[in-house]
Formats: sequence, structure tokens, C-alpha cells
Amino acid sequence: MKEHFPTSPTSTETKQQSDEQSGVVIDDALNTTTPLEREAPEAVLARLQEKTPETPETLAERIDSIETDHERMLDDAEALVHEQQKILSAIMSDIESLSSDEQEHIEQELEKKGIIKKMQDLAARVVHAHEHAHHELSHTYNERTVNVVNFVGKCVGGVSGLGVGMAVGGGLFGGAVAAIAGSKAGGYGLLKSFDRMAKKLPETWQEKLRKKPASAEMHMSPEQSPEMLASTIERTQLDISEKIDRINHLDPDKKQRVLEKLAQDPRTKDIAEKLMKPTNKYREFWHGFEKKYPTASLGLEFVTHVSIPLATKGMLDPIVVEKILLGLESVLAGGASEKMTAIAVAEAKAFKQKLLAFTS
Amino acid sequence: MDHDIHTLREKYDRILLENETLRELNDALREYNAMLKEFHEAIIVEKKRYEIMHDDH
Repeated sequence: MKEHFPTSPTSTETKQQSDEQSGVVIDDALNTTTPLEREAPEAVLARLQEKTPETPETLAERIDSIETDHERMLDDAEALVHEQQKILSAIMSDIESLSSDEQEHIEQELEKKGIIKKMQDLAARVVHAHEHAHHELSHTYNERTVNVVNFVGKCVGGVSGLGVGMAVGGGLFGGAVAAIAGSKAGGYGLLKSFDRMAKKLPETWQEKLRKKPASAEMHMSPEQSPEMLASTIERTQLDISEKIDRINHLDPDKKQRVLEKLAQDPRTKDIAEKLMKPTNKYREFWHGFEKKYPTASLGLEFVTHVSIPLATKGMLDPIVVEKILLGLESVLAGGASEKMTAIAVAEAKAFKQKLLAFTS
Repeated sequence: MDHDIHTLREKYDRILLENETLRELNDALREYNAMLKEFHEAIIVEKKRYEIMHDDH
């Protein structure tokens, strides 16, 4: 595999370039004082930069420089996603050739070495970083920036599938399938692997994978179509994320107070319960499924879905808030189906109002 | 002139912020890719170990 880790200049590097240009001035400043009076170079630089008059020309020059950085970072993001797909593809073909005994042995060893946990943590970081990028950059003037962030987003769904798939007992094979299924930007190699692996799944699973989403089967009114409901939850979720972001940016004492109040609030507890009920039901169902179909090893859908809440884990400490987010994410990812979606819509709205009350 | 500087300053600050966000995303992706490679290598090593163990038997 090609060992390529795209690098990009940091803002420090950009700053260094302008530092070099200011070098002569700094030297002059240093030489005009006696050794006893001499300031530290960093202090001189900071003082000089403060005093340097900002003109449209100097600003335009700096903008050019950071725009070049920006383009390079977009190239890097694309290259990193392509690289990720190649590594995943290589992993898939190796996993595919393992016997079930080999898989079991490898899983146990990886678990012992803490590799699965590390993967989950890093996957959560990727998902979180992407969420942040999506939030910050989706309205940018630069169309390419939006496209690249969206492109990364298509792969993010699959990022944690591997680790999570294994952690919930899916095994290497199940984790691998979940990783591809979660990604919406699988390259040819990945999709071919998925196709080969899917053939090993039980017929019921293959049917599920081949099945097109049919809203007619949902028995819902048009305004309650799965798409509409999913979009409502997504919008509410975004609002909730924004409010959580506000809580996270409070000073530590205030944040702690808000979170404690939130966790003690009876309505918030109620929301958590209502959301956890279908989530647990879903979890139990797939655990049962795993036992019923050991060759599939895991509930593919469940694993794909539970990979999403990883993004929100660690954002907030009190368990009640985490439960709400976990429940909300799981239900949303559950494919906007049955009664669970209606519960999610109602409770997500209630939670949003609750957060609003606590943060306003 | 002041207006120009203000507009340019805003643009500069905005791109700077965007770059910081992209850098965080790239760092996370880079670390995750490195982890995936470690994961892949571990699979290969453990597979070999499993084979050796069973060859001995």
C-alpha cells in the first residue's frame, strides 16, 4: 500500500513566513537596545506585529497565503479519505479469507491489546471533527470546501462501523460488513468486498440488503412519511447539537450547574426513558438476531446505527443527557420506522425545548 | 480605505477559522487512518501467529 500521509502547512508555518519577512526589522529592533535592555525575540516580534500598519495590500497578501493553505488542506482531506478507502479495502480482503476460528482468535487478541477501543475512540473523533466541519463550513463561500466536507461526510458513517461492529459482538466479518454499509462513499474495491461478504450472509439479510426503501410499507400519512419524519428529527437534532455546543462552551462551573440541573429535571429524565425504551428494544432484537444467525454474527443495521452515537459520546458527562442523545441517534438511524420515529420526533422536540430553557 | 481593510480583515479571519476547522478534521482522519493500518497489521500478525500455533500442534 502506498505510504502517503498528506501534510499541509500549519498556521504556524504561515506565520513563520511572515516572521521571516519581518526578520530584518526584528534584527534592527534587537540591535538598537543594549544587551541588558534586550527583549526576548518573541516579545519583539509581537510588539512589532501589533505596530505594523495593516494595509489592504498586506492583508491581500496574507489572504492569498492562507487561501493556498486552504486549498492544500482540501486536497489533503480528499487524499486521506481515498487512503482510508484503500486501507479498508485491504482489510476487507484479508478478513474475508479468515476462517471463523481464525477470526475468533484475532478478535480476542485485538481486544486484549485495546485496539478495538482505540479505533472506537478515534472514530468518534473523526465523526465529531466532521460534524464540527459540517457545521462551520457548510455555508462557506467556497463551493469546493462544501463539496469536500460533504464527501468526507459520506465516508464518516462507515468510519466507526468496524470498531463498533466488533465491539457489540459482530466479529471481524460483521464489523467489516458494517463498516462498508455505514459508508455512503464506498469505492469500487470496497463495494466489491461488500458484495462478496453479503453473499455469505443469511438469505433474510441478503433480502434486507437488496430491498429498496418502500414508504408504502410504513402505513403512514404523507406528512408522516419516513423521509419527512427523518428530516424533522435531523433538523431537531441539529438544533440540539447547537444548544449542547453552547453548554459545552460555558465556563466549567456554570456548565456543571446546568448539567446537574438538567440531569435532575423530571421531564428530562422522562425523555431519556422514553427514548431509551425503543433503543433497548432495538438492541435486544439484534442481539437475538445474532444468536439466531451466528454466521451473520451481528445485527448489521444495529451496528451501523449505534456507530452514530459515538460521535456524541463524551460531549456531556451526565448519563441522562447521554441517554437522550444515544436514544435519539439510534432511533433516527433506525430508519424512521414504526412507532419509534414518532417517539423520537416528540421527544427530540421536548428535549430541544428543555435545552432552550436551560441555556437561554 | 477603512472599509476595504475591514472587509479584508473579516475575510482573513474567516479563512483562518475555516483552516483551523479543516486542520482538525484532517488530523482526525490522519490518526484514524494510522489506526486502521495498525489494525490491519495486527490482523496479519495474529493470523500468522494462529497458523504457527496450529502448525505446531
